[in-house]
This record gives sequence, structure tokens and C-alpha cells, in this order.
Amino acid sequence: MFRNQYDSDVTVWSPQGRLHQVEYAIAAVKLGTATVGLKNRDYAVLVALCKPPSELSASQRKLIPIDDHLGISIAGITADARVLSKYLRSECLSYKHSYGSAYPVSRLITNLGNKMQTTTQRYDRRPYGVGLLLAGYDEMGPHIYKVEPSANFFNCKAMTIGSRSQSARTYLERHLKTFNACSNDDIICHGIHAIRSSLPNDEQLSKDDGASQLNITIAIVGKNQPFKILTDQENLVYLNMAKERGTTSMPSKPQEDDDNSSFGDQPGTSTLHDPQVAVATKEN
Amino acid sequence: MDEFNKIFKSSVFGDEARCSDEQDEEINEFEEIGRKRKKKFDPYEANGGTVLAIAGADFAVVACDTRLSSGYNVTSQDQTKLFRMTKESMVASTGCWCDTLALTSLLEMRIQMYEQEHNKTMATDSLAQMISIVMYNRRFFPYFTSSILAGLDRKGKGIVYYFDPVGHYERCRYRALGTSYALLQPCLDELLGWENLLPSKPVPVFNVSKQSAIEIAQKCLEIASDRDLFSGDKGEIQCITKDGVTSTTILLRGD
Repeated sequence: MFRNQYDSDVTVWSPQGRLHQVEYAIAAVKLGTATVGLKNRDYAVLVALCKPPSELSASQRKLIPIDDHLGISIAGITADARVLSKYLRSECLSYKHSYGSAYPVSRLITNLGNKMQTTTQRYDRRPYGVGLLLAGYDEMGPHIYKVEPSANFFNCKAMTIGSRSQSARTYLERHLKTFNACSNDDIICHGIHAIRSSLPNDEQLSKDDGASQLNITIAIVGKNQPFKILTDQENLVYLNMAKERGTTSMPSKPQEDDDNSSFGDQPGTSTLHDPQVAVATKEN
Repeated sequence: MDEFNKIFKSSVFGDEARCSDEQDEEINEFEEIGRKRKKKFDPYEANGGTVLAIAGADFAVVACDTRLSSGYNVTSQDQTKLFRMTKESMVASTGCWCDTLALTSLLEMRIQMYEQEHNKTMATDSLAQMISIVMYNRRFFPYFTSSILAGLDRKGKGIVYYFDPVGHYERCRYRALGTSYALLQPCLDELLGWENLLPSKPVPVFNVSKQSAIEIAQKCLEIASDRDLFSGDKGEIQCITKDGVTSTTILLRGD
């Protein structure tokens, strides 16, 4: 991307039909450290790499709990993420108070998308410079959503965002077919392996170094499991588990019953289907 | 209306009534009152019930009956009046049931906001202060509930607070509220407070055990259901300790 005369304002279109400011905002997400989200049949897991900006400071909080049934992982401008998480929290609380149940994840995402869209169409606002990975669990099962500063959101089976996340994405693509049948421990180990590949090369080699071990935060949400960020001790347990198992011992061939499993995304196999809201539902 | 009044009075009281101004005023006054009472809407309803709580050295016991009534009708025989607030505190509320529901759902919201903002469980004394503020904010249209907050304080000791409908609150070791408050509070004073002992007898140190606190709560619910119209059906007793909450249900009189 290069500077040109059509990128000064978010309300200016380029002749190619692009909004450069929005694309630059998406580039801001790539500045944040990598984070990975993946799910199995009943649980969704977020793993985030929390690298502090310098040795003197503590690392930024990458995983933010929103409600009992969902939480987010952020990459990009943390301050923008705080504003969005405050909004998501108040929406969830208000829904719980009014309707006595948890906010269905897909509808919350649509709601958030609508809010973020207004910032891409006003001359006095700028897009939120943060990408979110949202892990949630509701009646439709576990969900992983990726939300971009362009207000686009994607329902994902697994996803990664942040700097050097392409290698993590390759890992996830390779093992995608096995996730549905994985146990919770396996899925967390997959997440750790995925995020390990987005470490800078020199740190990857020093896997036994104690300091680099504590840079990962893990959260899990799912059936009978409210959103929980694992403690440092639990992190260590999983890090050791992942190290012991290694990537080669994980089954990389798809299993027989995967074709019949209902992931929720295949029509005809699942009986529950959340109404897909295609247009903006709320006027802001 | 006035025409009818005149005809009515002359037919009932005869011609003499029309001459007497005092009688006219009296009859009109009662009619006025009757008309006003029919039009006036009373936003509160007394749904009855009993709640009580006892604080111990490292536990708190809170109990309620499960009857909701409306006048002389029983609207529910199985509605608990206990609401879990945090992992170490519970609210028991009786009075107007709609206000109870509104108040407790508001409190649950506020507690979740607190826990997300401060990243810690709300302490029971902070929660008591918050309940007081929330209730006083409605000073001129109160939540018509008498409530008890029972739980563990910051040091792990049992603690009980009671609230009046506008938020005045006090800490105490044991309290009963509701329609059978007048029956139960003296019983609790006798069993736990030794308030009415003569000065010559030494006042024992308050150290009721968990088992006896639960038995006292059970006994009190039985007393309440025996003599109070609006209490009965089932009793629920919950004991809060640092290890969690244990629950007991007992059957009470159904009449």
C-alpha cells in the first residue's frame, strides 16, 4: 500500500472503488501480537501471545471477558478495544436483564458490526483500529468470529489475527478437519502449537526458556463452561502438555466420522439454525 | 349524578332530608370517598412470606418460606425468596414480589458490572452499601421490600444486614423479616441474642454452631407457618460458607 491522493479521509473513495483509510485501519491490526481462536464440537478456545513492548513493562491484556458465555481476544489499538469491550459488555448485560438469557452470539456480532460501520461512513469519526476474535457459546453451539475494523465480520471454524499470523493460519488449515473431534486438551494444545509458529525465529528455538513460556494467555468457553481465562499454573500445565505431545503426534488425517458430524455450518445436518440477519437491524 | 342524588334522597329519606344540609353533606362525602377509592390505583401488593438469617463465626444461614399470596389467595406454593448475589452472599427479600424481582435483577446487573470493572468478587459490606444507595434512589416511590443480605465478610466471618424499604440498613447477627417478623424476632432474641436476660446472669459469647443455626432456622420457619397466615408450604434454608452453599428444604404447613 502506498500513499495516494484518495486516502486522506475515510469518506473519500478511490477510483478503484476502495476506501483506503479503512484498509489502513485493517493494517493496524497486523501491528498487534498474534492471537488464535479455534473450536471443537462443544467448546471454543482463544490463545493469545502477550509479548510486552519492553522488558521493563508488563504485557497488555489480550483476552477480555465480556459475559459468562463469550469473550474476546484483541489485536491492534488496545484503547479502541477497551471501548468496544465496554460496549459489548453493556449490550450483553442489558439483554440479560431484559430477556433473562444470554445474548445469542451471532446477533451480538451483527450489532457490533452495525456500530463499527458508522465509523467508516462519517467524516468526523475514524474506524476502530482493532481486530477482534470472539469466542462464544450459545444454543447454536460454540462460535468463533473474526471482526475487522472495516466492520466486516466472519464466522470462522478457526482463525488467527495479528502480526506473523500467516504461519499460524497455515497450521490451522492443515489440522482443521481434526478439530471437531478433538478433546478440550487437544484443542488447547493445537492453539498453543499454532501460536508458537508466529513467534519470531530466535524465540522459537529457545522453547525451553522459562521466560518465553509465560507469554501465552489461554481462555475457554463452552458447554457448562463459562468464559474462563486460565491461571498461570493451568497455562504451564498446557504448555508442558503441548511440548510433550509435539506437532507430529497430533492426528493430521481427517477422521471417518467428520463427514457426518454437524458443525452447524452445513445445511441439512443441523436442526437448529440461528436466523441469518442479512441487513443492519438497528438504527444507530 | 346530582339529579339521581336528589331523587334517591327524597325516595329514601323523604322530604325532610332535602331540608337538612348536614345530612346532604354527609352522604355526598361518603360517595366522594367511595368514588375516589375506586379510581385510585395502588401500585403495591403485599405478597407475604418470611425470611430470616443468622450469622455465625465462619458461616451465614439464610432461610425463607416458599409461599406467595395475594390477599387470601395463595399465588405460589413453591417460590423461593432467596437470591444468590455473589459466591459469598445472598439476598432474601419479602414484601411486594414485583419489587423484589425488580430489585434483585437490578442488583445482579450492578454486581456483574462491578466484577467486570474491578476484576474481583464484590465484598458483602460493599454490596450492603450499594443496596442501600439503590433503594434510597427510589425514596419517593420505594421498592416495597424488606430484605436481608447474608454472607461472609472480608475476613470470612458470617455477617447479616437487614434493609428497610427505603434503604436504611444495619448490621446484625440474626434477623427475621416479613409477615411473621413479630413472631420470630423475639424467638431469635431468646435463642441467640440473650437480650432479655436479667443483668445478674452473665451474657454468653455468641458462638452458635452451623448445625444449631440451621436447626433454629428450621424451627423458626415452622413457628411462622403455624401461626402466620401468609407463611407456609415449604421452607428453604441455605448455609453459606467459604466452601460453597449447602441447601436444605423442609415441608411446612400447607394451610
